[in-house]
Amino acid sequence: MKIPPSVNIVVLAVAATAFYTLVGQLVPQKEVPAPEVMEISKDISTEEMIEIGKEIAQGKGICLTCHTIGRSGALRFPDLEGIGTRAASRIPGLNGVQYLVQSLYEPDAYVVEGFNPGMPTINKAPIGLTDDEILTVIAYMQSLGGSPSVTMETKHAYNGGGEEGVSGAADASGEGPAAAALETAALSGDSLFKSYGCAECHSIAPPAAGEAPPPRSLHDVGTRLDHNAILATILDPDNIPTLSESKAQEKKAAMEAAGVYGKATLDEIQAIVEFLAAPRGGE
Amino acid sequence: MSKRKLLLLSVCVAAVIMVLVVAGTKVLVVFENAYRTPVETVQLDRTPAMQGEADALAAAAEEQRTRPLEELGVPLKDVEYRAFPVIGSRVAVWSIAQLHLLFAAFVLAVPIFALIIEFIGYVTKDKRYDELAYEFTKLLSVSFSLTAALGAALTFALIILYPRFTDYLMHVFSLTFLPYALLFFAEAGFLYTYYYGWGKFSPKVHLALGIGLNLVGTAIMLIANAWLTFMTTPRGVSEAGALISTWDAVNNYMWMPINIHRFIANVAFGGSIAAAYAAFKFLHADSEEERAHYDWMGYVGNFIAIVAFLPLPFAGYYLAAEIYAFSQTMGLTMMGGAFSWLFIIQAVLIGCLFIGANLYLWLGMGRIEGAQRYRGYIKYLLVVIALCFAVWATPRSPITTPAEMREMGGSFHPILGKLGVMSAKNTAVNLLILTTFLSFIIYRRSGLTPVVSWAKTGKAAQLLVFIAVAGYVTYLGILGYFVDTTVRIGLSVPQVLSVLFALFSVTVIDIFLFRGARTIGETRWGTMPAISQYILIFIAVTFTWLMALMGYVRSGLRQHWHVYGVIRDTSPDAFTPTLGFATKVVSVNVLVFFGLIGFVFWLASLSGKKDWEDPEGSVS
Amino acid sequence: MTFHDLWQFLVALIESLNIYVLLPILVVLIGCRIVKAGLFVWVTAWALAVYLTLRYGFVIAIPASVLSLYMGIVFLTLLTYVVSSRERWISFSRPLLRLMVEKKYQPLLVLVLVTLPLAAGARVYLSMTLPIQPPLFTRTVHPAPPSEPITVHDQEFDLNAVVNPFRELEESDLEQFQTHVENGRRVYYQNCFYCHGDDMLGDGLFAHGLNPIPTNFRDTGTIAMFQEGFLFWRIAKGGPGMPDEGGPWESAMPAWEKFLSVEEIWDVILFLYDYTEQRPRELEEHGE
Repeated sequence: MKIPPSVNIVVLAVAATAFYTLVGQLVPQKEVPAPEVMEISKDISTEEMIEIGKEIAQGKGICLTCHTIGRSGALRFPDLEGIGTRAASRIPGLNGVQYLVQSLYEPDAYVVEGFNPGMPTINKAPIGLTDDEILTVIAYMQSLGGSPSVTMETKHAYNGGGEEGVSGAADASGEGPAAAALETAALSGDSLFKSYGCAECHSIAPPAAGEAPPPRSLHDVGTRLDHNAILATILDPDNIPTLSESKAQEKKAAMEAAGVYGKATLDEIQAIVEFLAAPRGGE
Repeated sequence: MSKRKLLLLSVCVAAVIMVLVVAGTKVLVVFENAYRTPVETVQLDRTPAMQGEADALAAAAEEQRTRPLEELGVPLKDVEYRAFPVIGSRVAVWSIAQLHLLFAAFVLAVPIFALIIEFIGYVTKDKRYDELAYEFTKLLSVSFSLTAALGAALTFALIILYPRFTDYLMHVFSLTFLPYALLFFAEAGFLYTYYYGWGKFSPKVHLALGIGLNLVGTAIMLIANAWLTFMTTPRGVSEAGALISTWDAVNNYMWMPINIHRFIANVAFGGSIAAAYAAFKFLHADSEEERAHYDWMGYVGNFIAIVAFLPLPFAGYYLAAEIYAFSQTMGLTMMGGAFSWLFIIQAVLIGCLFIGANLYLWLGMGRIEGAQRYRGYIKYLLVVIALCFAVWATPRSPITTPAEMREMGGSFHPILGKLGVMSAKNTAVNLLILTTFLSFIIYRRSGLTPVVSWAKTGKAAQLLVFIAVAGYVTYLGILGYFVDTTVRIGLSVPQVLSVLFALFSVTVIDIFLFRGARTIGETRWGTMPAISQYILIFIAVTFTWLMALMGYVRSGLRQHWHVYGVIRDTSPDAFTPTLGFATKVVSVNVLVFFGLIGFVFWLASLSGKKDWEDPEGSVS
Repeated sequence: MTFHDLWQFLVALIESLNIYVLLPILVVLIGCRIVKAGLFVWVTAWALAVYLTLRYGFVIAIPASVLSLYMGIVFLTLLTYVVSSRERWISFSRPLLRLMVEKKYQPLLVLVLVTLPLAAGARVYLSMTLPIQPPLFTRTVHPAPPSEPITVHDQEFDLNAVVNPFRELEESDLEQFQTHVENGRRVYYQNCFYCHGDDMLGDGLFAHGLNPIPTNFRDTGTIAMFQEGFLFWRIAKGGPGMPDEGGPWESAMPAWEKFLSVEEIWDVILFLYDYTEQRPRELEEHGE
């Protein structure tokens, strides 16, 4: 009884193939569905936003393929635990929402120290999240160690909000100033001036020679007023002699909304005053 | 003999009993909770439901008969996808493409080493080499037709099943199709002239034909590679997909690395298939000379395969690095995301390949007199190979039961987690390559004694290089645990370079060391035990399977894109299947390929057969 | 990399091995060497030795899936060795052949032929009747605090903004600060140390009965990673105030607002950092 070699060969080929197929069955079996465009309604709650954002971060956004949550040691990409609080202080002048927006739409604009650039632009192919989806992802990011201030209505520089929109987001959130209030030591008057939205109305750059300064410019305020007078105009706009009553009310409301009265500490306001009083060019 | 029979019989009995017991246990366990149909059901001839079904069928048939063309809903030219019955479009295209590529690889590889062997024969005036080259070439013509047929099938499948996407590719690469078609004609011309003109021209003309064949073949591969690499790492098109530069589209990120990787892999693959052919002939050989010839042929084929295989991991690094350069996202999907476990399967396959290749060399030492003095080293080499294999196959986050996870306090094992990282795996691969090379060096010298005056110094230098490089590679591997990510990634470069240095310098020393060496033991070709020939076939199957698997990851990496980031896959097959499913498709493809290649072998062996004679005629 | 790092790594490696399992295995292998065992015995011994080492040799067991992967490699390797030359194959298979054909081994042969199928059957049976295990949820050890302010003793605390009111005393009035820390010490040893341990290692008297286990404050991955507001929240609201993602188990930590005043909570927080010589996470930490 001799088995012909060709039978052996066939048996061997089939057995080897079967063995490798078996190995293929022993590894985790995960089917990755093609991502679907999600319809996100505008009137969902923050909790629902976090829920959806988390799903996107794990799924079609593939954020968590690279980023970890709550791991330390030799990482290839920044860990996201606590990003909700960290985001607000990463770039002076950008509040939490603005920072996260920038890092998703323009990932290479700011690269966390110690890491290499490498994140894809999230609203472009191949990941291609929609603006609404990105808002939910931001909500989820903010929920990591912080509390979301973003809503489905938030406008920012990348979804048609423009520059005004940015301050709108800051107003709506109220979080940027709140977080900023906790980090007095780290922020200069310059960045406080921006983060409280003062720069939205007031220019501080000296005008080019021969040109008139824009209205409400503060470039020369240091020469016009002393420290105490500047402080007084900030704290009590009603007493600014050059303003009509209605204008003063308007200014007060804007500054109230920006959190100058509610959130800013005395130290911070002092820093802003120092900053304004410092001499800077111009006549 | 009776002992063997008894052994076989008792093993059979044991196996049968085992199967019965296993099946019995399964049946017992399953049966307890099995669903059972009611003992008795009343069969009615015609229920209202059956009537309704029959009516619906008739109505549907009537509707089909009177269906207007407009019902398609879209104008014909806007059809995006058509479905392939039963297995679906993706699997259909996948299988055809994979078979086409396997044959194409073979057809491209055989001329490369046929030419090299012919050249060796020309230089050494050894007739054996010329015959061997011719025998390799014999396998070519049928394979070439099969490649072309499969290529045509692939084109049809793409046009029919993915009309829109195919249209797009044709738009981008319209300039490349004419050269491709012309080159294909040239390839056919060269190939058949090379094959049928064997021995009919002066050797120099024939060698020139071989060179032409290789150049044309490589050019064809370069063009085809441009199409498929463009799909994964597109370049030269706008964000929306409009063509900006055809050259950029051709010269995309993956193109060069794939060209290199494929060129090397084709040689390795072709060598292993040719070795399998030799093994096939060896096992069916009747005479001693035949066995000796095919033993030698198998050795040469396998030698080519292994030599080409050793630098392949480095080409793989380069390819992966370019993928990372194109898109980190894609790189991480490959190594850390959906496809990370595929590389564990790959590790198992490559581990098997290394073990098979080494085993063949060790068995080969059995046919060399005087090789006994090296026998004892085998176990140490084997231990190193097994350890490297184990490290390479260690998953970063293994499959665990909840109880195990609780014990480990997470999904990483404190010790194994350390082995699952890139540092350890790179080190393991480099050491595997070194060890296999060492096996080969030992094999090479097993029947020889060097006669040069500096023999001792030379051997010591070789040993020193081995130890130093192995130590350095290990040191870099350990260092990888203590440095930053950016530094760690860079460590693989000196590892690779030092291993390449070892391969190169030891080979050079070896060549001079054994120049005119005294033969202390004749190599008795044809005395290999049969098992070695089965190992050659095993290596060929493993190679093919590995190639098919890596082809899957190369293509599957695009996930739900036809052209990554540009043309989305909106067909029902847009999802990424499970690895289990992918391996099943791969297995079926590999088996079909071997069925076809068996046919090719059989055809090639026909020419050596005696002519048919009419048995009646011979009687009268 | 220094030798110190390497040394520590080796120490950690050795500590993770189960020496009482490894020593007997080593002794048996050396024994095989001394009695010059045949190849069959050697191969069997190696397979068993590797299996036992991997299965029982580590303090934290290797997952079964990896174990079977390794054993597959081991079998492949041993098979390769056995067939790597004719002599090895003959010396390996001789005992097997003798077992099958020699009359005196017949009872043993019968035994093997009966045992093997039975063992296979038993294995199948066992694998099909595995006890059902609860799934393991990935648990967030430190869930994010609620975004709305929490109320403790009728006072509202915004956890994103709150600071320890006595922390500043560290700079301004060290003596006052020390009184607060001392008060914290009293609070800790009256309430907390039963679970968190007298050295804050999370190994108090009751710790072993609890799941999840009490926090080890000496671990640099715990309180040093948080602002004091986080600790205030966890202490005040305890296990009952844990969000869902902190599950699936209920933490046994009481809601201390029912027992402690606001001041006592702040004091004990001061004491936690003071005793473990750690600093709370500051907001500026990541600012540029």
